[in-house]
Amino acid sequence: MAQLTYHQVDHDILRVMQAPGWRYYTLLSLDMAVVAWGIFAWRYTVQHGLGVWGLTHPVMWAMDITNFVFWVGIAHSGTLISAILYLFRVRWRASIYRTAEAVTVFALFTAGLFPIIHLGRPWVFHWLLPYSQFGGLWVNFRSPLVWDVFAVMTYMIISVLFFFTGLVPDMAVVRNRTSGWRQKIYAFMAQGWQGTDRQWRHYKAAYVFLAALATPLVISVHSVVSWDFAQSVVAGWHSTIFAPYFVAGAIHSGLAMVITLLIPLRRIFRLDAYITQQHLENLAKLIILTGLIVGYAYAVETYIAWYSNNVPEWQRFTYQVTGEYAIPFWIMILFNSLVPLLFFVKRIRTSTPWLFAIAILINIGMWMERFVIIVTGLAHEYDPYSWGVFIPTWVDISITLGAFAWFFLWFLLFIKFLPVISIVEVKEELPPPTRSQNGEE
Amino acid sequence: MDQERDRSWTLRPRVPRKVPLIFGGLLGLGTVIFLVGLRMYPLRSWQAYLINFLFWGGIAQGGVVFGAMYHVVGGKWGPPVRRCAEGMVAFLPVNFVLFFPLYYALDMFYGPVREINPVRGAWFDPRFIFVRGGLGLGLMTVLSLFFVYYSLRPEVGWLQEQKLRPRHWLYEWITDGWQGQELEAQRCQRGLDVLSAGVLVVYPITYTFMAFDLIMSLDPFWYSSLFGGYFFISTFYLGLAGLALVCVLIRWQLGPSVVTSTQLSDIGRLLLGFNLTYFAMIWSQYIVIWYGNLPEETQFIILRLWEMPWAGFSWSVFILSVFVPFLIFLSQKAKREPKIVFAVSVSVGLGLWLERYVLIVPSVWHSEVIPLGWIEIGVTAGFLGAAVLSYLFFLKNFPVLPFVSLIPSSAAFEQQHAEEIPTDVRLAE
Amino acid sequence: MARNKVADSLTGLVGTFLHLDSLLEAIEQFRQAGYRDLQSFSPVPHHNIDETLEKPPSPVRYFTLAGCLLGAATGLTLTIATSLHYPLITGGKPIVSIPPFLVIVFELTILLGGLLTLGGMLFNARLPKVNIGPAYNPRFSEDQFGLWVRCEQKDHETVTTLLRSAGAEEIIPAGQGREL
Repeated sequence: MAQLTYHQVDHDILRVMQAPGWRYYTLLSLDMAVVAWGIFAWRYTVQHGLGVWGLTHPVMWAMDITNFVFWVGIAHSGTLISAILYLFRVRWRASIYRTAEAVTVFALFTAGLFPIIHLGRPWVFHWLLPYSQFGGLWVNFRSPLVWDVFAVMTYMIISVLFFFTGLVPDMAVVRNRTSGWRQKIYAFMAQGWQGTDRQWRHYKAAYVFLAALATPLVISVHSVVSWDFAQSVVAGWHSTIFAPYFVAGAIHSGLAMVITLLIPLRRIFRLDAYITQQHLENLAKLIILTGLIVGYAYAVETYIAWYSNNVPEWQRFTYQVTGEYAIPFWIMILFNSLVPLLFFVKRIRTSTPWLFAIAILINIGMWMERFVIIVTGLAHEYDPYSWGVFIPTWVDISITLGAFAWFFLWFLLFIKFLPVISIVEVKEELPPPTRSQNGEE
Repeated sequence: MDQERDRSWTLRPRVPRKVPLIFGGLLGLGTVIFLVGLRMYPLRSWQAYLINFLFWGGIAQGGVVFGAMYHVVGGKWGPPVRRCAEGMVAFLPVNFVLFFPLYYALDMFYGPVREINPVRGAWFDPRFIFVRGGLGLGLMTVLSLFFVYYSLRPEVGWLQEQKLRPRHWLYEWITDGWQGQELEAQRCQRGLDVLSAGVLVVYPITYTFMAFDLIMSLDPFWYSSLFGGYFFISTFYLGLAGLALVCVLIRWQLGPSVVTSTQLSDIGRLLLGFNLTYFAMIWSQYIVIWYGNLPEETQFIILRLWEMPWAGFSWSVFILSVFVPFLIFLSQKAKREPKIVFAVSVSVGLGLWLERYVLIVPSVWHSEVIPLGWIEIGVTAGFLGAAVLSYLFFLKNFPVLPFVSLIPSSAAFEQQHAEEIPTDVRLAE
Repeated sequence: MARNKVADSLTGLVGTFLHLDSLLEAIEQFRQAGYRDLQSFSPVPHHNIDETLEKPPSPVRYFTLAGCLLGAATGLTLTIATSLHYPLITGGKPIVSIPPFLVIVFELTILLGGLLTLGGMLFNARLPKVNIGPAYNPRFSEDQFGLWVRCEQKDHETVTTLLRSAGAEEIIPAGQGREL
């Protein structure tokens, strides 16, 4: 990176936004087709009722909430990389944080679909919002589900704000290079940015404070989501460790998703000088940390299930290990806490194929984890007479796939319309052009 | 400049002769009070012992964990801070030895528990608790010692090579099998890599079980899955506070060029961050227990938070360890001011001592009188004496500024501190 | 306002620099010569520029603080007042149950803190700007630095000389009127 000039940086990063070829359009079309299928599946649900899903007593939350928690979780690593690593003055975050933040924003767009999708009557989703009805009745602020509304909305707004604030100086660069209707849009997003000292000063201050606010926010959001479960008295859900466990798991899955997207991005657009092997290795090291925390949580949950002498708690644990959902459970244990340990081996964490493969496995494992927690918790509660099993239908699966495609659609559009790497921050990491340097343009 | 560089090996705080005497006296006094207390009020004495064992061992272990963390993230912002943290390892072997007398308290603590709730079986046989506690603590002590060994070895070896220090049995032992500066630097770096990871992985596990076994099991019914996590975060926070305190003291002794305001500010920021993390651990347990409203869980919290006399202790913990440090450290200027950092560290330390008190005592103490008096003060003084004496031993023998780690970047260091390197560095006795 | 009248009679010169240290030198020289109406352009922020210009720290922090306090107050008021207004017992919890309300308070603290931080930045940086000023050169967002010195017409010679001596590549007259 030391050989790069500012001009080169502009050129390399803006090159990604050039007119795409047939491969891109093919991928885009396929993706849109899956999204359309997902929309069709949801329309089918609205027409025929939630019965077309696999939901049945006692499992009244299954893939809908799994998807919700999964996507909110994915959003967390972006804020970790852009806000938390910024506060710790970690320099290598500069070239990857834009993509990570984009992952956050789009994951939240995806997660935000599910509170609406999972309602029996989605046309009254506005009842979740805090306003006064029926003579002064507001939403129940005591309920974790309402905390969710506040937390996820706040997170979405702040993430979008943070994303667009960080984009402003880059938009000025793009604005200067485009013309026509595109230029008008970029000019609007650049807000008249010129890079004066006054603008930079206030921008930097705002950025630091937004980062400082985003840090406790990101911890609180997934804690609030975990409390959707922990605040109940369902055996296996009512556990104080849920908040940090979920946050670590969220960062775990988010980092895996960022790696999954960075590796093809880097390869296809030849961005190796910016997204280096060191970056990917550092992400892998963070995954070791989050994987260990997740593994710790699994172990402690097991220990406490035994220690507590709580019969329903213990039977739920044995049900997880040996019951109908044993396969997802063991996938979860293997992919989330054991497979990431491979990253202790330097050869594996510096090899792109291994990184990609393990990242995919972690994503699968983390989806399974949400599924196992939710479904096994509900399938085997206190009263054996009401035990039941959830079997997903084609509608459940279609909506899940549609959500993945929706996320990916936003990402495909992102790489063509916005700079995937922060031009300004990459330039900041380079030594500034000074007279004493030679060969400077 | 060369002269200054050569003299930095002598950067040891000048400790007046009476300081070790005072703390030695405290240690002696504490021992006597403890033994007398054992005769008169055995439960009170053992409570005080357990609280202090966890407190002082926690500071020391937390400090070493910070050192390991600093190495793992490749920190460069505070070499003397790192050395101050590493120095805390000196108390760990002492702490390990101090674990053994707890054997005699086991029946007193766990007898009633097993009577009320006999279900948990052999795992809670007091002897088994003792054995696994000892093994865990021993493992942590060994890992910590080796970690600091690899950090000190290149340093001491270089000092021996340059003949800057007289021969000493400790130095001989540390540099046993010395193979020359270059080879040793590499070998020790690898050792540090492995051991820092080892310390960081084993610490949460050991301290989780210490929390579960030595604190949580004292209550026959209560459990909280986050309690282990809460305790190791709390201990790390405590270690950071202890480190901040020591760094301020070193700065007062050796000057602001050794421990700069920026370094103090960075420690302050870490303290603020872990203050919030600590609070998040408390809150995560509280909100889940509050909402579920299950009697076996809530009784633990209600007893401590809403019933006197324990409520007074709990709220003091919040004020001293959470609110006051948070409000003060929001200010950037406050974090750079040594007196303020000192005051905040003392506040956090006091708060966390009371925290351990209020976690342990209400579970085992069932009479009306509040057990806070000469026994507790005496035993605390004894442990304080032991901890300070161990640390002074370290400071006497190893330089505060890890010079060897600076050698590759000493040019940068010099450039950075050109105005600050003291022309008059007080030589140690 | 008197300030605008004065600004109206000023014109300015923009010097473009290829190197950061040239820019810093120029700023230093102008400040020593007594010129205070300086504005720099750069593709990246650099703390040296701010230090040399000796500007005070940004007041955005007060906006953040105000936002957080406002958010906390809003959260408390919203939750407590609405619960008291239509008291319904849910889950056996008290009507005014502070622990869950604190979660809402926290989220609103962050939300309003963030919104006001952004507002503070836009307000202080005088964004959004519909018209980009005359002194801006697109290369200032790519790889060049700029310094806009506002001065009277008669001082143009002096300013030009100073800019040249600091190493400006080009010197362009720019700007009649309002500050950027």
